[in-house]
Amino acid sequence: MATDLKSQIHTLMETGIHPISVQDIASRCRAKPAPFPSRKVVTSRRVITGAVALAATGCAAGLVATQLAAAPSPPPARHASAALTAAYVRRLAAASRVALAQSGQAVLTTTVTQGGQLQQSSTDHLTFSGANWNDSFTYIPTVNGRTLPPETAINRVVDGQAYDYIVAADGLAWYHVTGPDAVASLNIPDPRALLTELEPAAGFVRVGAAVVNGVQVEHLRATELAGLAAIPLPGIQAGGQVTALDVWVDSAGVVQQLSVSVSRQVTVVALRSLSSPKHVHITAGGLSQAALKRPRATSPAQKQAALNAAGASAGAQTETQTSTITVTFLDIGQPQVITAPGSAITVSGLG
Amino acid sequence: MRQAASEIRPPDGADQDRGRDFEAFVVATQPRLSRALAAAYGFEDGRDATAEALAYAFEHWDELQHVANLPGYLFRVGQTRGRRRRSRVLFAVPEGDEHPFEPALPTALASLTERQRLAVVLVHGYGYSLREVSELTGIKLTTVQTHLTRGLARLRATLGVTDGDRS
Repeated sequence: MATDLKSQIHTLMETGIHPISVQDIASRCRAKPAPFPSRKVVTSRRVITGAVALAATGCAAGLVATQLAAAPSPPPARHASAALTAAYVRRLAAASRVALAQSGQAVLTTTVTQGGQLQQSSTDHLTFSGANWNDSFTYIPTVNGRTLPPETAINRVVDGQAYDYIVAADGLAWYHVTGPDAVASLNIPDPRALLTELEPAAGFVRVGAAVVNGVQVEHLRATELAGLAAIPLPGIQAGGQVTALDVWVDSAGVVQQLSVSVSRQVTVVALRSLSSPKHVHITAGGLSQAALKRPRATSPAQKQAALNAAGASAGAQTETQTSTITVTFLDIGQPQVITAPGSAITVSGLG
Repeated sequence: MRQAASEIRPPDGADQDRGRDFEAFVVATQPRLSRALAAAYGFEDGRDATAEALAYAFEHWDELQHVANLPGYLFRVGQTRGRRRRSRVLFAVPEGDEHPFEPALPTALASLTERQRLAVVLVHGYGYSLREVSELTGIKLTTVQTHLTRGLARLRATLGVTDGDRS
């Protein structure tokens, strides 16, 4: 139990205050424009005209009304694979950003293959509440095609303070990391960054209905991948091209799951022809502080990038490296309690 | 048909900007509006009042661009709409769960006056400054201080908390 009145009041309030969705806000608008077009709106020019008229009358200045009124009318869709309108995709992005703005959970899985061979994989169980984060992750390194024992650790940020549950100088324990870069050094991925991939230009089409974590969703797939931006997440090399993008959204237009693949050509050089750069640490098992705080920075993919940068050319060949990230959002907008560890060893400069 | 003409024009930058502005406003403002209205009216009515206030902003977004203190304005909108539906239990928490606060805290907080609750929750619970609370609620800064002092004293007396807790 929290010991001081201040934190008890804070905790009580956070227990009972739940974020309000754009849908809830829009449903209370007196003209009641639908925040997300029903199937009929998307597939019928006549119905959307009526919706626009209604929206323009009552809520011309509102977010949804603005987008409805401004959106080009969708072409008659007689086939399930008709591209969704730009306005619809923008609304999905907006609703998801608002719903996930404050708190929630996410499971982020990342796999990297190269030349058809698994290079690394990791799973992050993320909890976020405002600026507080908890990242419980498992990283499975692979060296020369051999999968090594998984490594696990917890990175946590509470009230601007950084905590690690790792093996360090005092063994496996919670460490309170101090220093100006301590929080940034944890490198916790923000899965909401993937929502930037919800670009109207991606040409999303409906694939069909599905269920994600018990939630009825609609599966959407991007068909125009050339113009999509690189994924703004750590561990994804620059210069890649998005090769697949699938999104599962619920009836409120909120993304429940998103999967994206990025491919790039890499130059492969026989390891024996080079000495490893000094800043590359190859984790060969067990718990390594550097690897756990920045597992992606020590990954074979990073190592490969370093090798590329070294300019090696003898015996070089190109291979396709593909990174696939899947994020599943849970407890969207629900309050999350992330507290500082009860006891942590204070260390300076780990970050 | 005029409507059809506007319907088929491509989205222009201004419309998109307005949409993004409102979305950004909701993200930035909702936490403090929710906290303030929940403190005043409890979880259920506070949430309802917050949603009503944001819906009002949604409807009148263009007109509200000229309001200097929009969060404060919407707090008063929420007050007006929220007062129609008062819940009997202000801070209902799920029964059976073990909560990290004094079991008597919800009732003790509910026993304060509305303004005392606002001051205690926002200043003491969330760390807002007196000025921030004053701007949001429209209560004079010195009055916020008075409500805070009296509210905390009453809360401590109700809960039997000693001076050692004055953090």
